Amino acid sequence: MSTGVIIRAVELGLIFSVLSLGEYITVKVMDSPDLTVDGSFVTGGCTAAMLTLAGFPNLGLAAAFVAGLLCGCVTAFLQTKMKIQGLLAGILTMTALYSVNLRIMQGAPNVSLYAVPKPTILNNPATVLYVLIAIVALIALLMYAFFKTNLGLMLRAAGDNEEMIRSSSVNVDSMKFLGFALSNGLVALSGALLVQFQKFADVTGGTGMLVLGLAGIIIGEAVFRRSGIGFGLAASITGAILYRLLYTLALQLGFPATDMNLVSAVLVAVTISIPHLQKLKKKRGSHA
Amino acid sequence: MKTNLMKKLTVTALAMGMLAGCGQSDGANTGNTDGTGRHFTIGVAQLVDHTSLNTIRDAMFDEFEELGYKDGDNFTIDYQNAAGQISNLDTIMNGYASEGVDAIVAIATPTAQTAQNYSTDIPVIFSAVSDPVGAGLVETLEAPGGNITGTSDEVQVDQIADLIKEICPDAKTIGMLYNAGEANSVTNTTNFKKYAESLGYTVEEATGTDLTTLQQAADVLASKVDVMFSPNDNTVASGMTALSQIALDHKVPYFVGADSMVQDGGFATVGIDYEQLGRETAKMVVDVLNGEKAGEIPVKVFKDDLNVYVNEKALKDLGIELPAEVKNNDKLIMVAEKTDDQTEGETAE
Repeated sequence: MSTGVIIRAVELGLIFSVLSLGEYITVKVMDSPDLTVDGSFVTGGCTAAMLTLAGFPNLGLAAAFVAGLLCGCVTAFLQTKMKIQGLLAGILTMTALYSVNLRIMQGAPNVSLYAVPKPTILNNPATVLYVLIAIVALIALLMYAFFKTNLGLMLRAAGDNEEMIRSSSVNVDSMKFLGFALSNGLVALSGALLVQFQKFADVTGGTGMLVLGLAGIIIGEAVFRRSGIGFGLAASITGAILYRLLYTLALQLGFPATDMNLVSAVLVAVTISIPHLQKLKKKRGSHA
Repeated sequence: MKTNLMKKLTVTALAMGMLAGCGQSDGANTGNTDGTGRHFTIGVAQLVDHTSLNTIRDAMFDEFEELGYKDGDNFTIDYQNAAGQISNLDTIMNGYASEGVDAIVAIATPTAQTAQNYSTDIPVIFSAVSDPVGAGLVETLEAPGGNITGTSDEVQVDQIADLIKEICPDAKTIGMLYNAGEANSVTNTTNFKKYAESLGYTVEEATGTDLTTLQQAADVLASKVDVMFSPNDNTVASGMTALSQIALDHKVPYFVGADSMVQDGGFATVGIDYEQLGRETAKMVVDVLNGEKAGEIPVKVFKDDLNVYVNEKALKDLGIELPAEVKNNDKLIMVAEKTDDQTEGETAE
């Protein structure tokens, strides 16, 4: 692989690492994977696209984050106030978001950003890598700091042991609102960055995003193999970039892209089951 | 710590093995040997597998061979399919850029939009884009500008509406069925509505996002309107067998936007044949490889002398008699009933 290809893959990986960081909150901290992602990723993209076209690219990124926060709140509302089971709540929001996303783009399923009134921060190929590194580093630092605050600790505790934290009179429902909102806010921001990077938004662009983000977290964890928030965040970023590099490598080797969905799913499944398989092995060893 | 390292290695090796094991490094990077008998390499990227898109691709590959460009011999085609995931497209294009391909062929709108980002260095030829101007790919159809051109599969909705008038002179309302999430469909239905209303029709709309919702929408729509119409919508096309049966149950003629949809049970269409679209795209690619500037080649839209496709079985079941001007049209192609072993897809008739 030439340097150009690697850099481009890293850039894409950094964009998807924001997705992984967002999913890290629901999957790892709250221990409740959230299917809103396939919808909120696109919501972020659509919001950013429309504002970028209107001449406010940076406001577009901020608005995308806020739109994502709202998407997360809807899922949290369904889960906590309407008592809808977790996965179903996410699926419902995701389904509804399809219509919302089309509304955001005023009925157009596809919007081109090739010619925009004001350049986005990702427009200049010479600086885009550094801009993305800065964004991802800032997000990771903010997240790290947040998880050390009282509020952040409560969120983590709620994910670890809901009953215990309920008995210490923390409002678990508020924690769910907070977690889902932050998670989807980041997911939407990732969608917004991708739209500005690839210079178009498409309403079908969310397909497979949940697994993609998950793959990043899982691969990163397999590399780091350390617990703790700091390592978790670092792992999500590294994993997302590694995944993109592996994917690029696979394509360069002539591996058909149509099979990549299968590879991603197998990769995630195998990696998740490694600790279990090792436990089994240990057990068998001690019995022998 | 040692076991940690072991785990790390296992996973990495596993991942690499999975990827490398299946890959066939066939030295696609032979690249372009400059000088006499230049060996061209092109990248062909497709967003998703679909009858019409695959027809375009295959016809294009055939045409390359007929023009003397044999894949693997004096010509290299690097074909990639994004498996329906838009997020994969940039990585595919990035690969083409590093290979140093001589041209990128992009099939469908999002593919073309991703390729456009690489068009400063590599000429891009798109296909199956209904609205190249609206998609921001070209400035005008006549003079695309930039380093990009291609063929459009814009549905000639005016001609289809005219055909409805000829075959069903008594119809007053037309129901449009499509997936509002597809860029091409929105363009085509908007144009269709405008023209049909100018002819005095009342136009109703029903949309769905998947086969289930489309079937329900079709049922409701068919009970309200005299004639139905769907553009070359990917979602509708994939459920055509079931949807056309619903229309037939309500005795509603179902006009469609592609010949493949007539084959799958739709009543009639006026349209291009995707085979021809693929062949024209191949010719354009060859022109570009031989030094023509992509941005100066007009986008090819198929407007004149289009075929009229009518489904024989639907014609019989609806009890419609074709008017003389359609019957005597030498561009009329009667599409025979599909035999069972030809029927593909999920729904039986």
